[in-house]
Amino acid sequence: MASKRITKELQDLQKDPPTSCSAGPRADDDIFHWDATIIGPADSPYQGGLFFVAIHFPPDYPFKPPKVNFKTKVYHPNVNSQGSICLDILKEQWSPALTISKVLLSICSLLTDPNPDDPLVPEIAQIYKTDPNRYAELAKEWTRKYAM
Amino acid sequence: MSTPTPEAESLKDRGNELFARGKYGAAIDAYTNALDLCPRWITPMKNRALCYRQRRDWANVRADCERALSIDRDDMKANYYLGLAMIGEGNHTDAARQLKKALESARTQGASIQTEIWRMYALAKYFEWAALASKRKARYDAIEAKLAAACGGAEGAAGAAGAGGLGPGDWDTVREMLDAVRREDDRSDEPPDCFCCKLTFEVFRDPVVAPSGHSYERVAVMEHLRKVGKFDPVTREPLVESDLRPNHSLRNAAHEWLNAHAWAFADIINPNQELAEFTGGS
Repeated sequence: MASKRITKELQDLQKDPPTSCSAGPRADDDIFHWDATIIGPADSPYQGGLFFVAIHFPPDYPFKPPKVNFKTKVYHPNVNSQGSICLDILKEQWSPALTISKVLLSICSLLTDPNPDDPLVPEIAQIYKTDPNRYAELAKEWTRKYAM
Repeated sequence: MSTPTPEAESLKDRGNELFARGKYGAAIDAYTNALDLCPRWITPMKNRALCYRQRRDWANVRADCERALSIDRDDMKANYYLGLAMIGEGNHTDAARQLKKALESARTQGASIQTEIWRMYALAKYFEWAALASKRKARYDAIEAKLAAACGGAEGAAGAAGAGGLGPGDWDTVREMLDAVRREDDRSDEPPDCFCCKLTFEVFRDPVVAPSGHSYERVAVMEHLRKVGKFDPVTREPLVESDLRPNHSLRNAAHEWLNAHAWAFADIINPNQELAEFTGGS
């Protein structure tokens, strides 16, 4: 079921592409590995940045969540230096009714609204909570440095 | 059906073992010997049919299945293999009918065999459609050319009214009518979302409805309950198997839509895999 479902998600994405991201298989002969790009949301310090994301679908997708990782460095309380993303729908809140398109949109929302109460990088969460201006400054700086 | 003798039983086991090793000729001999001892025992008939299937010897698959069905007309596998033989022989309309019967008999069986038969059914329906559609297209093309000439040319070129009083001013209407009849074969359409499962993204085969009001393909939501969790995939309300009810209306509507847009069966067929068996590919 996995490859059929992934193929259909790809068709849907091509037919009706989301405005803030794009995604597709890395190679023609491997539907299970995708690359995606996310445009930094306009109302966030990531504005103007282009973020690369790697997606790996497990063999029993959609009954297991896809593995999604940032390839571009991001200064964010819920993204660590390996690019791992702390997002509930990629873990215990996954549902097979979700799609990769919905996942990417959730990541966009996470960029706009970090979740400092469930941080992957406690130091960034701390700054985000206590000194939001400093957080925004650093996030902007990283975006300029790594995502432009 | 008859009870096999121990000797026939051991011949059948020998056949199964040979089949598993890919020695189809020897397996056929073993099943034949078992059948000589117990001529009304259908298991060796079905197993022998499977050997013939491997060799794409569809006439013998059909013969063994018809023999088995004369003893037990509802046998799922005999109906299934007979349907495959009919696809192999290019008889897609009968194949679809046979596979539908097999699908009915498989309702009480495991999910994977049901999905397998459903995909083969889709294959038969698709082949049937493809043959009909290409004939239809040829007929419509011929009529369109005649009508275009009668209207004084498809470009609406000014000219005297042609046969039957048709003229250039009629061409748009004629065109509209032709497009309407061609629509049923227009593959650029999409199955409506309401007929597609939110888990499989495919047209429903056997939908069940949850207390939330959302319907899911039975095998998919069962897998979800087993692997992901006991909740409704869309609403996340608690959900257990006993909450699910068959959704007959949705099933009938989805199947009716499929039958009216049979090109969409292409979407249900497993790409490459099944086709190879019948097209001589590897």
